[in-house]
Amino acid sequence: MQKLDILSYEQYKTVSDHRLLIHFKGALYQDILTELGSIIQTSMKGETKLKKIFAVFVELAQNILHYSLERIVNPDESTSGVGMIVVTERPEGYYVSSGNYISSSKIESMKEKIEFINGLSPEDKKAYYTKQLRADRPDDSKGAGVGLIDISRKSDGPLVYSIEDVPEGKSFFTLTAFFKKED
Amino acid sequence: METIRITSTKNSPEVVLDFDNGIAEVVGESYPENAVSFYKPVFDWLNQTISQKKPFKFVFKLDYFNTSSSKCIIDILDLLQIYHSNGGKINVEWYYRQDDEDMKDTGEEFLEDVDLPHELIAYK
Repeated sequence: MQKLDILSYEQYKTVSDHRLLIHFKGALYQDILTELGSIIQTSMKGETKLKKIFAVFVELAQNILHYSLERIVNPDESTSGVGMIVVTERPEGYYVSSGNYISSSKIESMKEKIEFINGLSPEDKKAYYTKQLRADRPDDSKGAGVGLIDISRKSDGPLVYSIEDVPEGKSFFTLTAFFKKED
Repeated sequence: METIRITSTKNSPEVVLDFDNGIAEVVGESYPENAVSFYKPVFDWLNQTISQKKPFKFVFKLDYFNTSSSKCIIDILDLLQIYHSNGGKINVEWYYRQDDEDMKDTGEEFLEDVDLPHELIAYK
């Protein structure tokens, strides 16, 4: 029989050692997103920050669904975004990360937005959040345009991002939110 | 007007829009794929109810909502505000689970930006 080198013990060990509670790559259809959310709800039951972690997961996953450059066309001709979403547990806390392609032309505005949010005090974040909720929806936004500020308000510590250039005018963008474990 | 009932799903709340009894209710979790289209029946109902000057209460009893739903909630509150400012009779009830301080805070945050008769109500 032909050996399929897709899965190995080493990979299994990596996933176990990093305590990857969720580890998904694919189209984030709403139904899949909802099921992944149920896994988080079940596997993290009792965790004090569960509601915040779940909320951030939904924002990141719906960001991929709506805005990822890589898209799958559904039978009804709507499209769903493809990306990766990972929830990890470490001794210091939990990390929720998303990774997806975005157009290189959007990189600068994305960087600016994240750095602007990271520089705000909690009071300023609150004010900015409510202001944005009342602002008109940006043309290219299916949501409120306040996902990032909400993620920042719910998580601990700055939003961490990375950008890697890939061919064809695309970039690979990751965003990570951290949740400190309470003593 | 016939009562509109939308059954809840894992990612969308139960919605009851009862004109005769003057009650609009949104109950459960709200993170549908497209919040704007999900809440459209609510806005249609509100516009009709307001145009008929019907006194009513709006009940929010949500465990969780995402940011695009929160935008819709703010839009609902702003619409209720206009109604109230024009003499319409409206009361907002914001329910939160007793141990859910965040949902209580969110309710306070949303309601402090408008001038509407309201109650924040804890439940077990």
